[in-house]
Amino acid sequence: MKEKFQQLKLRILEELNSVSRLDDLEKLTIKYLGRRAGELTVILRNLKNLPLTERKETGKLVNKIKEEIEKVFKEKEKNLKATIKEEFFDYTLPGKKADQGSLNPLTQFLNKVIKIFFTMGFEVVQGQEVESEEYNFDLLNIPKDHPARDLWDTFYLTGGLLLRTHTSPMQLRLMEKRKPPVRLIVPGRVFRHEAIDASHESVFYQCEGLVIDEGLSLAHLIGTLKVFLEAVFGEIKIRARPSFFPFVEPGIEVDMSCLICKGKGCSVCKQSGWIEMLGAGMIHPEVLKNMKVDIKKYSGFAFGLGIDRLTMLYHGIDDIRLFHAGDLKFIKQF
Amino acid sequence: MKLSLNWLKDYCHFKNKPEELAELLSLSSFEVEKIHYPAQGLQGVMVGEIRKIEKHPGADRLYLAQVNLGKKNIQVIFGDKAEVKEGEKVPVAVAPMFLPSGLEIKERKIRGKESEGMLCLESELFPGAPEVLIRFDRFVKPGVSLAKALFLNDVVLDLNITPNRADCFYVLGLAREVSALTGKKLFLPSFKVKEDKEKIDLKVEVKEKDLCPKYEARVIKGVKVKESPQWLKSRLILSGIRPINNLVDVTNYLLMETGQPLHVFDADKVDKIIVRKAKENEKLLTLDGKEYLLDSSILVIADSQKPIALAGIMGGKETAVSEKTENIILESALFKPSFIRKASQKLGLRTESSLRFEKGRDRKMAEQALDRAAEMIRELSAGRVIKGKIIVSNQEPRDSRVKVSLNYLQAILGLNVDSKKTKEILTALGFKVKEKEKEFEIIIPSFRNDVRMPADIAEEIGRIYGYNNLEPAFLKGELKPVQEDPSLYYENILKEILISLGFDEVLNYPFYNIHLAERLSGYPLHNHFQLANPINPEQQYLRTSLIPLLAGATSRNLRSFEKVKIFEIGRVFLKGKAIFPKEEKKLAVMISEKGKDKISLYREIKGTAEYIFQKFGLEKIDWKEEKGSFNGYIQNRLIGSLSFFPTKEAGFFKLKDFLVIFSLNFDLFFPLIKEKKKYQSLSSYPGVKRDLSVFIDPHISWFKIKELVLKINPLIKEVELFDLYYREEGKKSLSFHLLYQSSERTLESAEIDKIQEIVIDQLEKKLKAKVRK
Repeated sequence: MKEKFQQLKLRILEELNSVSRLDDLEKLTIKYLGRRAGELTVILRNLKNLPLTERKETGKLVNKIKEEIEKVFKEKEKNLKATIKEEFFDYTLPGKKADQGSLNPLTQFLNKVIKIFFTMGFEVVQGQEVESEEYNFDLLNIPKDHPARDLWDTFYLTGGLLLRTHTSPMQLRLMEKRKPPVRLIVPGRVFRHEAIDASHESVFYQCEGLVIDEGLSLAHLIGTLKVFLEAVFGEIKIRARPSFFPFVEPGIEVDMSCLICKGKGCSVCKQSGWIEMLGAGMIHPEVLKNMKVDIKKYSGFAFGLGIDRLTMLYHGIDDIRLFHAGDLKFIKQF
Repeated sequence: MKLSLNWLKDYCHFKNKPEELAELLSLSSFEVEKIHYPAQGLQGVMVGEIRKIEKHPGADRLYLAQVNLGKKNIQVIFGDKAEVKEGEKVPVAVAPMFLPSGLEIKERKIRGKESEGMLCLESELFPGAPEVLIRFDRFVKPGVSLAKALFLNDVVLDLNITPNRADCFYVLGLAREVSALTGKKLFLPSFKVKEDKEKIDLKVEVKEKDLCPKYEARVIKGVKVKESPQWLKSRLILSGIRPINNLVDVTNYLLMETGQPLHVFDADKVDKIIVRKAKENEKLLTLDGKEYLLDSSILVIADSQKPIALAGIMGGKETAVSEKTENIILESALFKPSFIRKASQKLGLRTESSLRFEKGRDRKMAEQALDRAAEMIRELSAGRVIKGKIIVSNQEPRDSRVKVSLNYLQAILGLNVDSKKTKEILTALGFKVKEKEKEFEIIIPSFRNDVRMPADIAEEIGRIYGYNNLEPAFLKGELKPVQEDPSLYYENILKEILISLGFDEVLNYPFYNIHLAERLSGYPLHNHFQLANPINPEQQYLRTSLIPLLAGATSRNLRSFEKVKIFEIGRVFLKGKAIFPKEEKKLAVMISEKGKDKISLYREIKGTAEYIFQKFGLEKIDWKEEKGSFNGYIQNRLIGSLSFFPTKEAGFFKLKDFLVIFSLNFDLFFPLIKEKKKYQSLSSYPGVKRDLSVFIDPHISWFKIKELVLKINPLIKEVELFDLYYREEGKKSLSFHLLYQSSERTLESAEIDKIQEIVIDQLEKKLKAKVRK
């Protein structure tokens, strides 16, 4: 009798061993432990037919075996469920949001510009935003009562000072304390008294460049701007056109092949294939004199990058007003 | 400026296609902003002669017209809006075609009658033009295209002429430029004035010879004021000028062709001409119908009694040409550019004339323009040009000269240009060049007053040679480490730290309105710099604080976000003793969250501030509670402060939630930064943490509790708050960790228990705290 039960136990455990799926386990559970027809349940139910003495001992034994089996089954179930958990891992669950902010894209782009020039040996200097007419205009060869002043619409302060219309006054301020050779850039905010729309801002950023040394030519200026623009935008073509800024002579404007259409013509480049990038030129001899630079020995060039415009091109932003709108839906994209 | 290529071709027979010419001009002279094709969209519109008009039998307000198109006749149905008569020649759109508006013209039946085209109003051909019918005169043959009849088979370049090139604000100057660019010859206009026998009798007196170095005049008698011929009108229209009458149109034509502003007076209303400064309080009613009050800063043309024109700016109404005018005085003069500019700015009156005078004129062009205009007026108005002309002139100045060496040109351009090419380019542009051993003496033509020095000559060579033919060169120099500007360097690190903590960077305008200046800046209004010409009142004062506009940005973003964490680093403008403002760099950091309690927000911003100070090696900060904010001092200087946006001002930005602010005086902060941190040896003995919860009077500050506990035993290294809440019965509950640690041994549990008991005892005795068990 005893042995019969032990064998049964061994058989159940053997069968259990070969089970690898939850539904097979369930079938096995019903087969042996099922409430109506489970083999062990039936044995226990039939105990009442045994003689009293036998009944007690056998009952004890079978109950013990049943408990053992139940325990093993439970464990097996647990193991099987754990396996399933691993097999069915849901990789599409959402990530927990990182608490990370963004810099304004203007700052990011300006940092990129600064880094490029820094690696080329340019000193980075900051300047004042409120200027005098003398530095903003007169010393830059833009005399009062000259039509060239019309190129800059100016915010004046009561009392005669003004908000600088370009970063160029810093050329003069910096040369008060330096001697050539110099390589400088001056990033900063500038102001124009202009009606605002998607492509015009009254507050925007420029980066002024100034290089003075012996033997500098227009070819150096073009070469420097070319390597800069390539460092930012990758493989591009550039071209130079004559232009007029009173503080340089010759003055040029530099275009870059359109990034969008690769020079074929599109709405961004107004079908021309070229995009106007910046103004530059050889520093005007009068301005060099105002800097107290010996014009017989030195020459120099200067350039002014419009950071907002470059940033817009870089990211494909179509409205300049977004930079100062303070809208986090915009800023968080970068 | 708008340049008609047909007009240009009168003086330079270039062969380039319009697009090629535009490219050439853009790369060597001026940017071509746009190329217009005026005949575009008009193919299929012809001049039709109306032979016969009948009423449409099937419609009340429709008519049938038999139209002669030269080689064929068509029938057109039209409405009563086109008030056309038999025999008239008008524009007819012949089916099939599309009008510029996109309207399709096709053959169709209207109430049983065939219509093979449409009579077009001017507005239907030229968007924006008036709703009138153009009628052609007897010289226009039926069947010619409208474009031909209106002289529109042309291409117009929209040029962005830089203000230094006064010589290119007119067709002849541009023809010279194009001649130099294409190598094609320049033809200057040749003509002769057919003068009458009657001799000129006009008195001209120039009282201000410095301000008016040249005054020339002619008299023409017996003119008939009428419409100009179509070719003249078309050239003006294509140049952006509205035709008025033959006299005015001729002066405008010459303005566009020679750049010389001319003026016509009605000779019967002017007894003599005096060029003088205006007297104080003299007045003049000008052509635009406005009256100007004058003074001695304004140069006028006057008769014996009163001003009749603002010199170089605009004529007076009284002496202007009218339909009844028969005799005229034609004026061609030169005025001092800066004086005209000042006067024009003072009067707030800028005209085509003043814009040209202020850039400086070609002194040799005045006489030629005068003669040319006189001859044209004679031709177009059947007038008699009276013999002779008045010329009141200063001595002609000598031609200016520039000396430059080939070496200089090569060096500044970075180009191996030779002396032959140099001479060739300069000669084509109108300069006269003398060469002596690679040194040039260059005589500057009268129309190039922008060329004054060797660098200007370099520009001429460079641009015509082509800047894009230069071989780019690269900078060379000694390699030395570049000093970084510490303010910029630390500003960038600070920004990086802030974004790593989840803050977004906002940039605001540096100006704000009067309310923000007065109530939220922390400075009185009189400490603000004020804009003299703000674009709008929202931008009237330069900011003295970043907080007002940043709070506005926080509030706006709370519409879209549950929580807003932003910052700005920027300048504020403070009044000091100097004329210039003190431009100080500041940082403002803000946090707000919908429905969030004050304490949590405060602890978050304070944690941010503490983290920043600690990152930059600034441990010793004296925090003081002052006027509703918590201010941090280093060496007695206010470095930063923590505060709440004042609830009573929340209405400005419709703020509903608490807003906490950390502001930092960056310019004081960054010089104190200690980048180099001192290493502290690591304890090899483990620390033991014990927790403690107490009920305590809510007025007792955390600082007091912490100080008390830390003083009890040096083995207590840290006291760290982890829970805080207020109970209704005027008590607060604080829970905190105590960290016990020794650098010499492992601490025994019993030893810590003992200290912990002292802590509890002290808290109970000194602060009347009740320890929760």
